[in-house]
Amino acid sequence: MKPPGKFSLSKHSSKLQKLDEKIVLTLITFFGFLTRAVPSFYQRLWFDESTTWYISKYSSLQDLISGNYFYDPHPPLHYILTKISILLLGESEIALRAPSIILGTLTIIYVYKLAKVICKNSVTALVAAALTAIWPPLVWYSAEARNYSSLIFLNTAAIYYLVVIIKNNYKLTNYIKYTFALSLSWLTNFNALYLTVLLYMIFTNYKINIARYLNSQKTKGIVLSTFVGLAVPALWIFQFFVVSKVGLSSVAYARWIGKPNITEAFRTLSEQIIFGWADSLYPGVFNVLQIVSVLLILLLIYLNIRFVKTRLIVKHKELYSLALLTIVAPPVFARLCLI
Amino acid sequence: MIQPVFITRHILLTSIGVILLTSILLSNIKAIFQRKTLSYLSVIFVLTTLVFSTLYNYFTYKSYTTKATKTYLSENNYLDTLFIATNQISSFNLQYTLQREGFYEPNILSVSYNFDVAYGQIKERIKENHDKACLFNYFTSWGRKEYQLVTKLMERNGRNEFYNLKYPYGVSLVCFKN
Repeated sequence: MKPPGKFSLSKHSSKLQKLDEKIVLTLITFFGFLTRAVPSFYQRLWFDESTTWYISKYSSLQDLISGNYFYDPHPPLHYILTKISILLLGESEIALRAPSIILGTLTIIYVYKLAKVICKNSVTALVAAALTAIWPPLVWYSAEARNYSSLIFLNTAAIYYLVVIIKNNYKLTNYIKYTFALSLSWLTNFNALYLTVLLYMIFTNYKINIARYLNSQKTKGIVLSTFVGLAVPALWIFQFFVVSKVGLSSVAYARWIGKPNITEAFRTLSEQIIFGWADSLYPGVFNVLQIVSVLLILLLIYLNIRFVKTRLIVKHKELYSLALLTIVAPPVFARLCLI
Repeated sequence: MIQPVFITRHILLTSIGVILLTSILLSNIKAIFQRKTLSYLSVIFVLTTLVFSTLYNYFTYKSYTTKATKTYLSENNYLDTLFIATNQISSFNLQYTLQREGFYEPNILSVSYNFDVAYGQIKERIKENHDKACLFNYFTSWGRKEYQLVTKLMERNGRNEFYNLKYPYGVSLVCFKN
């Protein structure tokens, strides 16, 4: 029989620790919310945000779902959320930015959950949440009426549920949540492509290589979920670019639309590589880096499949790092460069 | 209009950053962090950058459109002015800003991305009964040559430049009056 005093103290301590952790997480989340909400009140809309306002206000829900809108080549989920926000809160800056602020704040909680499930350490998870609360690009994008904050949230959620499944929690609800998050992230922004890269890195980090992974009975559910998660956005993309061809008009760069000839196409392309688009918010060097990152990812996938038996892939950690860097660095540096 | 100073700064800083980060990642990270002072310095550097960059968001005035239109309208009559936005998205930005300032029927002409078409559109509209015409620009690819052509067109129609506001992000308001 355990000594009663010792038993109650231990129980009390554990409860207190959990309570403390919840209080700290709540405070971090609230602070993260403030960092995102405060600038949204007094900053007027800038160039890109006015596109969100225009599309959300003047396109019907039916047009948004069917992809019948112009000026932006990305899928409609964020516009639908903004439309709802306009209906509920009006057309003020804070109303237009509300979806980004809410989802940006929820990202903090999901980063905490993700860190905890990976590291199994409360302090690490809280530090991760705190960094998310103040990380400049995340704060910036969460205070912007654009779809990047929603994308980051959905990506984080998808990765979290995938890691939960990989960590042997094969509940049906986890598969469903993963499928939804993956699908919705692709219906928010085409940069969800980079989620695929992150998912691939998770597979390799957990030493699950693709060939073995596909043969595993246990993890066939993940493959099926991923397939279902990508099917709906794939149909939408097909409609947007191939059937209605509306997407094509938004993708091409401004000057080339004005003068659709070969000389102008080359000029636009060279400017894109050398200078970047529109007064260099994303300089050309970033575009080159993104091309490099895609090539590296393809190389990694090839190496993983080619050398699956010899485990040569372990020796290519530098390539993973470089691929990750080239994906993460552009938005971070683009914003830091503005200082 | 591309701003060379911004581009040079971007490319320079990005190159330095990417080279530094790549070299750190490619070198032996463990060996670097075994030196305590260096690891402390790295943590301090990262945290300081984070805090300062976050604070930077609070002091950056994103919408120079509001600044430009407010400055102009404090001295000029809105009804006399035809605002010419140099592309469609600029016109959305101007329309939203003017509406937020209380002008519910924004008098905006959004011209084509194609300068030849845009020139024709401006030519047609400046004959209307507006004392003033303002070119509103945000991130467009119009260069000095395009501006010179429009300025000459305005002069031929009896208008002269009297207002010229320029801000970062390629925001500018160039106005002509009778």
